[in-house]
Amino acid sequence: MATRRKADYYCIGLESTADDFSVGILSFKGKILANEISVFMPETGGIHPREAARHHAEVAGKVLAEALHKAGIRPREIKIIAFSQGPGLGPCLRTGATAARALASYLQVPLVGVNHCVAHIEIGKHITGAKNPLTLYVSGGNTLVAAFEAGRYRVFGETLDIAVGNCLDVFAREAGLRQKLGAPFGALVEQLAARSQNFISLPYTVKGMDLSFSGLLTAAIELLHRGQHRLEDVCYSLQEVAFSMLSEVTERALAHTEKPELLLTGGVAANKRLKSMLETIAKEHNAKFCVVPKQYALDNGAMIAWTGILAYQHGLSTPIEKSFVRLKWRLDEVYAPWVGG
Amino acid sequence: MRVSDPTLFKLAEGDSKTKARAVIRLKFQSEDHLSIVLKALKPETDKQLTSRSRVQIRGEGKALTLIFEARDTSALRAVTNSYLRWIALVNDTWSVMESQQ
Repeated sequence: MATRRKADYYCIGLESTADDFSVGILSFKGKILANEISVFMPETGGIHPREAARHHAEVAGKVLAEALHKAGIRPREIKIIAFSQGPGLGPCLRTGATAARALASYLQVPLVGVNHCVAHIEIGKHITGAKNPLTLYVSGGNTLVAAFEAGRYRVFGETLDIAVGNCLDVFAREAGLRQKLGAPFGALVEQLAARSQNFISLPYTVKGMDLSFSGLLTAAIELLHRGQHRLEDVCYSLQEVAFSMLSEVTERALAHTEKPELLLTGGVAANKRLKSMLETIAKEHNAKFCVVPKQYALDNGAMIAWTGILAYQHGLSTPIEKSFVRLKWRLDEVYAPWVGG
Repeated sequence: MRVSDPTLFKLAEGDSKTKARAVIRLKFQSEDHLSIVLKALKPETDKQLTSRSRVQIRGEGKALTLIFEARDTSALRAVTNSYLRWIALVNDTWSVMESQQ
């Protein structure tokens, strides 16, 4: 059980946008008391929204009980319930929202709907101490470069099709790799890429400030199926091209915004090669390079709880009867009065 | 299930596109428990994401009535499973919180 100070309030955050169901518990002062995660891992193929939602419904009670036990708090000490309202997969979001509404009704406390992308940035700032960063958020579902400008988080660049994490995952599945708990597809591609330095040319697609990974993925799969190159060489080339594209857009955004910090978050943030490329860019622009640790860079309940606290402290809450999920809720649509500057 | 309330038949008549219907009634331990289930599910019935099915929900005493209407039996099965799963989820949540009191 976590040690804590008396006379503090607590928030339970539920995350359920895609393949993870997570419950985080934070104090209003920002202390993370629990961050329990259950990952849906299909035997074959990608994430089927209905199957992921079924997983979430089945594990929710257990994950909640574990989080409460770890946090060592009583239900009456909980001041608010936060949940990921979007963007994400419909059945998964609706399952998390249902659990959140039930908790808020049971405890008779306010409900706060949180934008998943904003939550990634806010927990990143909270954990790393970044105040006003340019953020590169790279995961299986999202790829974007964002920063706070003129009263809102603004998207400076984003993928036009699939996310970079999805690109790596699909390639890994096509290559016959099998992911395990603690070793996702991206990590397997990274391990293989580290064994090569033979670069094979692949499509590099940056359109203005936006990116496209689908052509790169198709070309890498074709290269693989042709059988003329080692898997290690294709992994290496795929990573180099994808990360160079991300680096180009990030560097341009950093030069434009002149932010003092560069924050890297999302599941792909664990990749050492990407980190080293971005670290170089940050250095060249005199920006502090901040990487969110893995447990808070992946989808997690703690980030939802923390963003819920920030929103609630600035007068925002979501009436239960209006707590519909928002499948395509963009980062730049979020009203974020808690962010200064 | 047996439907004793004649208004349920009216609700379940549906529109011309409705090909499959189901009515499920569940009894809960207490009115408080039912009230939480209703609050948790009501937004989902108010803003339905698909035109293939629709759901009406109502509570009376300790009983919850769900009326499902769908364009085909596949859609009916999918929507029924979703709601039953969510009700089980709310029950699990209720049990966890009760055990913490």
